[in-house]
Amino acid sequence: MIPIEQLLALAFVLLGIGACGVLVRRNLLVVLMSIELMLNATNLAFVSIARALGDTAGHVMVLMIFVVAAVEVAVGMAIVVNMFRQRDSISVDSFGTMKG
Amino acid sequence: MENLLIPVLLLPLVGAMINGFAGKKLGDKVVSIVGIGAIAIPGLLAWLLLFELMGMDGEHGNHLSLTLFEWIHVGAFKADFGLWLDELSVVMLLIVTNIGALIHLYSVGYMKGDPSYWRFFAYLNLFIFSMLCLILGSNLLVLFLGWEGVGLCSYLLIGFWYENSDYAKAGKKAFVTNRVGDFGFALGMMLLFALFGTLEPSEINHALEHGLPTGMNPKMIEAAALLLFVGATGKSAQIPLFVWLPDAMAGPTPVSALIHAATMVTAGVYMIARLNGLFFHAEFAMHVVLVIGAATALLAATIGLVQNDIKKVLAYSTVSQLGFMFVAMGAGAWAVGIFHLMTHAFFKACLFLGSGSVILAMHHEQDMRFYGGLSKFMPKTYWTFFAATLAISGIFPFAGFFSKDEILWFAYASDRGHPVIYVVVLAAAICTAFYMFRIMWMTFWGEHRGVPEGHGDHDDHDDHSDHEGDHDDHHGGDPVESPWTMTVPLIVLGALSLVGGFLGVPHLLGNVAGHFPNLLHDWLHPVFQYSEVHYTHADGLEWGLMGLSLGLALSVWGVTAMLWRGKDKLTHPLDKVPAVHKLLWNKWYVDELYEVALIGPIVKFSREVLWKIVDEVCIDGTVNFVGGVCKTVADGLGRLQNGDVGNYATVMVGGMLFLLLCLAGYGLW
Amino acid sequence: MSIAFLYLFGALAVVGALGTVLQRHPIHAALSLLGSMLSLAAVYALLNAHLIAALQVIIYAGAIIILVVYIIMLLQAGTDDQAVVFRKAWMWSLPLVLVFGVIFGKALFPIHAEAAVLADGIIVCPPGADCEADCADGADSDGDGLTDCNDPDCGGTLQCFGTVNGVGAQLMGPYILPFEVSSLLLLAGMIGALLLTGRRPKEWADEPAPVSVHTANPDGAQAGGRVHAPDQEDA
Repeated sequence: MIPIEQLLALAFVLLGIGACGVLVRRNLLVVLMSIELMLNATNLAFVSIARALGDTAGHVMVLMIFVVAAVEVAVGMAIVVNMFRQRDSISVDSFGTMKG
Repeated sequence: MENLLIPVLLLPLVGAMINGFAGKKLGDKVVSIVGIGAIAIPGLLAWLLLFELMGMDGEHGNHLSLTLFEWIHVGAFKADFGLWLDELSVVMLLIVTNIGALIHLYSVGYMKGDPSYWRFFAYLNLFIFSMLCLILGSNLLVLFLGWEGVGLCSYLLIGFWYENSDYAKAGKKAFVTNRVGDFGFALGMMLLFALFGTLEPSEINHALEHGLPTGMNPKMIEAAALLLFVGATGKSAQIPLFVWLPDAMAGPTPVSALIHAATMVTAGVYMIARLNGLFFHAEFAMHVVLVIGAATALLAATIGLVQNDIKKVLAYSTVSQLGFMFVAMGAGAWAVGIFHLMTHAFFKACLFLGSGSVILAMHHEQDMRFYGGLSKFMPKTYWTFFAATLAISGIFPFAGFFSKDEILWFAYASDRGHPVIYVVVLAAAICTAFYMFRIMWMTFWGEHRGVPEGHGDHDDHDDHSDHEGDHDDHHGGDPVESPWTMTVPLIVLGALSLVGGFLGVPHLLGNVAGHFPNLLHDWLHPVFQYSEVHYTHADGLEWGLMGLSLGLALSVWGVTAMLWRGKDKLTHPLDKVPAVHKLLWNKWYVDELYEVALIGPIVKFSREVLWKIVDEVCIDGTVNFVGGVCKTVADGLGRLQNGDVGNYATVMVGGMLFLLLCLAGYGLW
Repeated sequence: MSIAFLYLFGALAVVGALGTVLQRHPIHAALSLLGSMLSLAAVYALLNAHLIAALQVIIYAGAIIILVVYIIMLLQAGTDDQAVVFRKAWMWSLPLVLVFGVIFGKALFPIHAEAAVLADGIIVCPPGADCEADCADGADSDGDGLTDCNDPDCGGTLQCFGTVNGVGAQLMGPYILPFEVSSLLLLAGMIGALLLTGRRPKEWADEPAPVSVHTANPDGAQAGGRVHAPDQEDA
C-alpha cells in the first residue's frame, strides 16, 4: 500500500527541482531540460491520480503533455540554435533585449 | 388637417440641412430657392391652417394638435413632442412665416455676393424652425427647445461676420445675457411641473379656468410667473437684461429685422399670452410685468433720442416697443399685446429693412450724420420707411395708432393698470415719435451730406470688404435704389403698416364706423376668455386720451420740423443740456453699471479664485499629483523590466504563488 | 516487492533530477535527465500505466534526450559557461520555490481524503484477454462506483487500466477532439522549427528575421520593437 501523497510528494520534489533549475541555471539548454523535468513531474502526478481514481483520462492527459513536450523541445532547440548563431553564446544573461 | 403642421414645422429644418450641409456646393441661386421655399411654403400652408381653424366651431375655442413622437417619459414626468395650434399660435405662425418669407426674399438682395451666403440662409432657416417649435410646441419643454434654438440662431447670426471681434463679442453678450434669463425660465418650468404635474400650457390654463385649485399656494403661482418672466426679460430685452439687443445690431440687417424686431424678441410676450391663465392668477407678477414694461419703454425710448447710428436707434426703439407689449400684458390686455406684437412686426420689420436698404446704398455707413436727402435717390425705400414711421409714431390711420392707443388706454383703464403707468408710456410714445421723425429728417429729408472722403473707405475695407461685393461699383457716386428683391418686401410691409391696424380696430372707433368689429380681439377671445381683466368703460375719457396721444404725436412731428426743416440737421435740442445728452448718449450708463457691479466682480472672482486657486491649485494640482504618482511608480516598476529572462521567470513563479495564496485565503482548499 | 521498487525508482528519479540541475556540464546534465526519465518510466509501469511507461522511454529517452545531446554537441555549448554555472538569483529563487512547493503540495491534499490509498500489487492485463467484453457490461462487482474494467481494487477481475487498449479506447472515444488538435500542435511546431533554423530563400534576405532576438538585420530600428538608442536608455 502506497499512500498517494507520497507519490504526489515525489512529483512536487521533481517539480521544485525543475523550477530551481529554470530559475538558477544560466545555460539555456539546461533551462530547457529543467522545463522537461517539470513536465515530467506533472506527468507523474497525473499518472498517480489516475491510478488512485481508476480513471484512464489521466493517461490521456499525459499523452497530450508528451505532445506539448516534444513540440516545445523542437521549437526550443531551434531557438537556441538560432540564438547561438547570432550571439555565439547560449547563456541566459546574454539576452537582455526584453528590457522594458 | 393637423398633419399639415408637419411640413410647416419640418420644411425650414430641411432647408437648413440642405443649405447647411450642401449649400457651399449648390451655388447662391439654389441656396436662395431652397432658403425661400423652405419658409414660403409653410407660409402658404399657415393660411390653410388659419382657414381650417376658422371653419371649426368649438364652443370654447378650437385647436389642432398632433403628437409627433413620445419624447420623455420618466415616472410621472411626461413630455411628448407635440404640436398645438390654436387661435393664438396661428397668429404667431402667420407673422413668423410670412414676414419671415419676405425677409428671406430681402436677404437675397442684401446678402448678395457674401462669401458665406449659404451659411446665412442655413442659419435663417434653422431660426425659423426653432421659432416654429417655440410657437407650436404643445408643452413648455418643446417651447423651451425652440426658445433655446432661437437663442442659438440669434447668437450665430449676430456673430455672422465673426472675423470682426466686436461682432463676435456682441453675439457672446447676447448669448450670455439670454442664459441668465433662460435659467429663470427653466426654474419656472420646474416649479410649474411641481405645481401642476404637467407642462402643457393648455392643461395649466384649464386647471386655472375657475380660480386657483384648492390647496394651491398662491405665492407659488406668483413665483412661477415671476421666474418665467425672468426668462421673458432675457429673450425680449426688458430691464434688466435688455443690454444685449442694441449690440445685437452687429448682425446683418435682415437678421435685425427678422429676429431682433419681428419674431424672436416677441417670444416673451407670446409666452405670457400662452400662459395667460397663470399670469392672471399671479397679480403681483402682473404688476411687475407692467412696471418693468413701462420702465423699459421709457428708458429705451430716451436713449433712442440721441443715438446717431440708424440701427441703434431702431434697436432701442424695439426695446421700447417690447416694453409697450409687456405693459399690455401686465394690464391684462392680452389681445392688445398680441395686436401690438403683430403691428410692430409689420412696421419694425419695414423700418429695419428700409434702414438696411439705406445702409447698402450708403456702402455700409450706419451713421445718420452722413445721410440726408435720400428720398430723392431711393423713393421706394423712402415711402415705405415713411409709412412705417407714421405707424410707429401712432398717427391715424396707420397700424401703430390702433395698437399703441389701445395699450395706452388699457394702461390707464384696466383694473391692473395705473395712471402713472399711463403717463410713463405716453412719454415713451412721445419720445418714439421724436426719434423716428429725427431719423426721417436726418436720413431722407433735406440735402444729401454724403460720406466724407476716407471715412467710408476705411470702414468698408476694414469691416465689410468681404460682403461688399457687387455694390462696390457704385462707390463714391450717388446712392441708388436697391434691387427688387429688397423693395418688394419693403412695399408689402409698408402697405401692412398702413392697413394692418384695421385688424384690431378698437370697439370705440368700430362703433363710429357702423359696428366694424375688432377682428383680432374676437378671434383671440377663446384663448383669453377665462383671464379677462375688468376695465373701466368710459367712452368720453377714451376719446379724450386717444385725441391727446394723436395730437401729441402730430405736434412732435411739428416740433421736429421746426427744429430741423431747412436747418443744420446735426444739432440736437438736448445739446443745450449736455448733462442729459451725455447721460442718454451713454445709455444711462447701464452697461458701465453692469460692468462695475456684476461683470467686474465676476471676472475678478473668476480670475483670482476660480482660475488661480480652484483651477490651478485644486484641479491642476490633483491632476498633476495623480500623474506624478503614476510616473514615479512607473519609473520604479520600469526597473523590474531589466530584460533578464530569469528574473521574469522568477516573478512569474512569485505570481503563481501569490494566486495560490489568494485561493487559500478564499478557503477553496 | 513492488512498493520497494517504487521507492527505489522514485529515489533514482530525484537523484537524476538533482543531477540535471546541479551538473556543471550540460552533457552531464542531459545524462542525469535521461536517468531520471528512465526511473520515472519504471514508476509509471509500477502504477499500471504501461502505455505511458513505454512512451516515456520512447519519446523522452529515445527522442528528446537524444535531440538535446545532439544540440549540445553541435553547439559545443559546454565550454563557454564553465566559470559561472548559476545565476545570482538562486539566493532568493530557491526559497521562493520551496514555499511554492509547500503551498502547492498542500493544495492537493484533499485527494488523500477522496482517493484513499493505492492497492498493493500490480495487476497486468494478460495477453489476449478480452478487455472490451469485460468493460462493455459496465459491471461494478464491489459497488464502489468504478466499473470493473477500470477498478484497480476488484481483485480477480481482468484489468485493462493503463494498457494500450484502455487508453486507446479513451483517446479514440471521448478525447478524440484533443487528440486531433494535438496533431495541429505538432504540425505548428514542425513548421516553427523549420522556419527558425532552415535556410532562408534569398528573396527573404531583406526582411527582418521572424523570431531572432537580436536581429542580424542592419536596420534594427524596425525589427526589434523597442530598440536601444543610447539616449532612450534612462528616459
